[in-house]
Amino acid sequence: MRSKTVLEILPLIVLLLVTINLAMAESQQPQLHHGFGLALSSVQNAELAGATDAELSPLVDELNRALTVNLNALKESPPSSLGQVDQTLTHVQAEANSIQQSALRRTSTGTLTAYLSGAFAAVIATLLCAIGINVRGKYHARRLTQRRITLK
Amino acid sequence: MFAYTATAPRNQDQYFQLYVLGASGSVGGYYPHNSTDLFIGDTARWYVGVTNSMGLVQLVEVRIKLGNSTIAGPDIAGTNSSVAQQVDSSYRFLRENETWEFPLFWKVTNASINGNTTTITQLQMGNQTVGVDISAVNASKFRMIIELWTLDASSDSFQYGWMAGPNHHAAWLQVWFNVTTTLGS
Repeated sequence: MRSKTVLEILPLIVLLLVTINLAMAESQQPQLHHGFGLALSSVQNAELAGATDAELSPLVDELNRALTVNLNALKESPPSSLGQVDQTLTHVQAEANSIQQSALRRTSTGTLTAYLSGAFAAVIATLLCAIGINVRGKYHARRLTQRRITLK
Repeated sequence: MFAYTATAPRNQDQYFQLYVLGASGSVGGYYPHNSTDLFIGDTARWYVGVTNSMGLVQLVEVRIKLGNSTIAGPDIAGTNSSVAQQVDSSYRFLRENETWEFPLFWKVTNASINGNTTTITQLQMGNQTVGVDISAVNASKFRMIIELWTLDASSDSFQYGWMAGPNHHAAWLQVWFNVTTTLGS
């Protein structure tokens, strides 16, 4: 009965020890704040939407400052709080999303303008071509009439 | 045609450049005695540079590893990084077309030379002291391996090299050196 209890508890103890060991090993690895990936993703999406360098530069500067704070905090023993990094990353994400929205609006307006300009240019070209053909036709007809009169 | 040309995104090659310069800011002069020999306590003054030509903002990490001639370096295919011990790393967010150059000043602060075996046990990387245990036998040398890693935003983890579309690429450098008590050629 006793050995049965030990056999039941033993796997639990092993599991507990492994979990503690893994947790300790993980905490020994200096890690950057997980929010950096999300913040980078937001900035890249804003860039893909057409945000300019001038719009994104302040965000990149903020991210680099947060990176320095994060790395300095990791050097301290025990690592100090990353609250400031957290705040900066949240702010960068919000700003990048807002820039992305305005860049998207700007890009779609630009695309619409480009296509409308293209369509307008095509209409003008067609009209000019039609006028040209018309004028050429009239000129030929007049020349033909003049030649007939001269031959008589 | 006009509208498409005006609005279509331009295709461009996506890549990083990685370089290391000596004390004078040019290629060469990596060690104080104009040879690859380095005395214990001699400071090697290098400048490592990375240029981002990926078309987007990137977070890069430069990993410095200490190896010898037998520890595997990064493979030629560029898929696996070196298994040598990491002794330093630096991080930076880079804008498109931005070049980041930073000083890498380091020295061997503790090493033992027993017969034909040299063992490095301590390095100073900038202001930080790093314990290592790496040996080189006979005339074989040590090497500093410089690898470029990037943050993959989707998985939120650093990857060796970078992805350009479906293709993986990597950039790494190595500079060889001898730890010595007598100056060689």
